[in-house]
Amino acid sequence: MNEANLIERYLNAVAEHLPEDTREDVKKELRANIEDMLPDDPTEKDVRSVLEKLGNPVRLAGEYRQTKRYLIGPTLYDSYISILKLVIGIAAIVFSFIWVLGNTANPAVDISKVPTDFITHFISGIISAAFDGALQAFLWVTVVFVVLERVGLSEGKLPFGKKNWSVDDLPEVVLNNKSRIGRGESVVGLIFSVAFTALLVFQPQVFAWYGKTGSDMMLITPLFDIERLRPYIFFIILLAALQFVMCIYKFIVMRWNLPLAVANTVNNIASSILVFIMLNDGKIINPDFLARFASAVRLPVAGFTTSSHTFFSVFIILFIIGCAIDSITGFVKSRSLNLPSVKI
Amino acid sequence: MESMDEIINSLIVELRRGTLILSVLSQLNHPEYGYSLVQKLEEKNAAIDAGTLYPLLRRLEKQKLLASQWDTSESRPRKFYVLSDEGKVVYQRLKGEWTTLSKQLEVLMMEGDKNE
Repeated sequence: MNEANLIERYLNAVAEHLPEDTREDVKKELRANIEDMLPDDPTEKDVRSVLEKLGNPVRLAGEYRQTKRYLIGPTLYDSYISILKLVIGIAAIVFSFIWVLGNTANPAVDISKVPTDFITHFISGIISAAFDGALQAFLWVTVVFVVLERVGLSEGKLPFGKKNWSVDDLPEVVLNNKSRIGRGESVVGLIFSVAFTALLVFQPQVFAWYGKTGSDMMLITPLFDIERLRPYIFFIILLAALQFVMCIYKFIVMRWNLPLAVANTVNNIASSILVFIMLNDGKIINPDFLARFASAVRLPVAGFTTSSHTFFSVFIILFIIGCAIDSITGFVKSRSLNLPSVKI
Repeated sequence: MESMDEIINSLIVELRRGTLILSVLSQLNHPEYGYSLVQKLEEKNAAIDAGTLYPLLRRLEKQKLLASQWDTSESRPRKFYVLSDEGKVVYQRLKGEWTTLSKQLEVLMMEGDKNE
C-alpha cells in the first residue's frame, strides 16, 4: 500500500504544477509509464528508485509545460535593471521627502522637550519611509516589466530584440532626429509622476497657499478639500500608472512611435476629462484657498469667489489646449520616424 | 572554476540534445508507449532519460508530429504514439539535414587532423 501511496504523491506533485486541462491526462499516462517501469510485485525500494530516476517533480512538470518560465527575459533585463535602480532611487528620496514634509508641520514628538528622542524619531522615520519607497518602486517597476514581457515587447518592438531583425531597423543617425526621446526627459517624467502622485495620495495638504498673517504664525491654506478629493484618488493613481509605464517605455525605446503617441493621447484625454470633472465638482477646491489667492493678486475677494466658475473654465480650456498640443506633437514626432530618408 | 570533465560533460549534453528529437522520431514508425520506447532506445545504446522522453512525446504530439491513442485492451491502459503524416515528412527532412551536417563536420574535422 505504501508503494502505491508514494506513486500517488509523486503524481500529485507533478500535476500541481500543470495547467488544469492537461492534469488528468498527464497523470494517467505517467502512472502507466511508472507502473511499466516497475517489476511485478514491486517493493518500496523499487518504487523509490523509479521515482528517483524520473527526478524532481517540479522539473518534470516544467518539461511538460512549455510556457515562459521567467518573469523578465534577457532582451528586457538590462533595461529592467537600469530603470529599477533609477526608480528605487527616486522613490526612496521622494518618500523620505514627503515624510519630512508631513512631520515638520506637526511633529509627533515635541522638539523643545526631548531633542534626542526627536532626532531618533526623525532618522528612523526617514529610513523607513525611504525603505517603503524603495519597496513600492521595486514592486511597480517589476509589475510593469512583467506586463511588457507578456505582451511581447521583447519579441517585436525593441529595435534590437526583434526576431527578424533587418538592417533597416537600425536607428537613423542624424536625419529625423525629431523622434528621439532623451533619457533625461524620461527620467524627469518618472520623477514627476512618482513625486506628484505620492504627494497627492499621501500628503495632499502640501498643495497649499503658504503665507504669513498679521502675527508670526505661518498660515497654510490647502488647495483641496481633502475629503472631497478622496474619491478621485483612484483615478489619479490610474492615470499616474499609465504615465509611469509610458516613461519606462520611452526610457527603453528612446524614440516616439505610433503606439506611444496613441497612449499619450489617451492619457491626455483622460487627464482632461478628470480635471474637467474635478473642477466641475465645485466643492473640491477649498474656498479659503480661493480667497487667499484673490487677495494675493489684489482682486476683490467676494467678486472673485463668485466668479470662480469663469476662472475654472479658463483653466480647463487652457489645460485641454495644452493636452491637445502635446498629443499632436506626439503624432508628429512619431511620423517623422517613418519619413523616407533623404538620398544624398 | 569548472573542471575539464564538467565542461566536456555539459558540451556532450548540449550535442545530444540536438539529436534527441531525431532519435525519437526514427523509432516511431510503429506505435510505441512511453516505457517501451525507453527500452527500445536503451537496447540500441541511445538511452534517453525517462523524465525527458515522456514530456517530449507529449510536446511532439502537440506539434502534430505524433499521433496518439489510448489502448485500454490490456490490463493496464497505455498511451501509444506513432509518427503522423506530417511527422513523417518532418522526419525525412531532418534526416537529410543530419546527413549533410555530419558529412560537413567530417570534412572539417579531417582538415583539422591534417593541419595538426
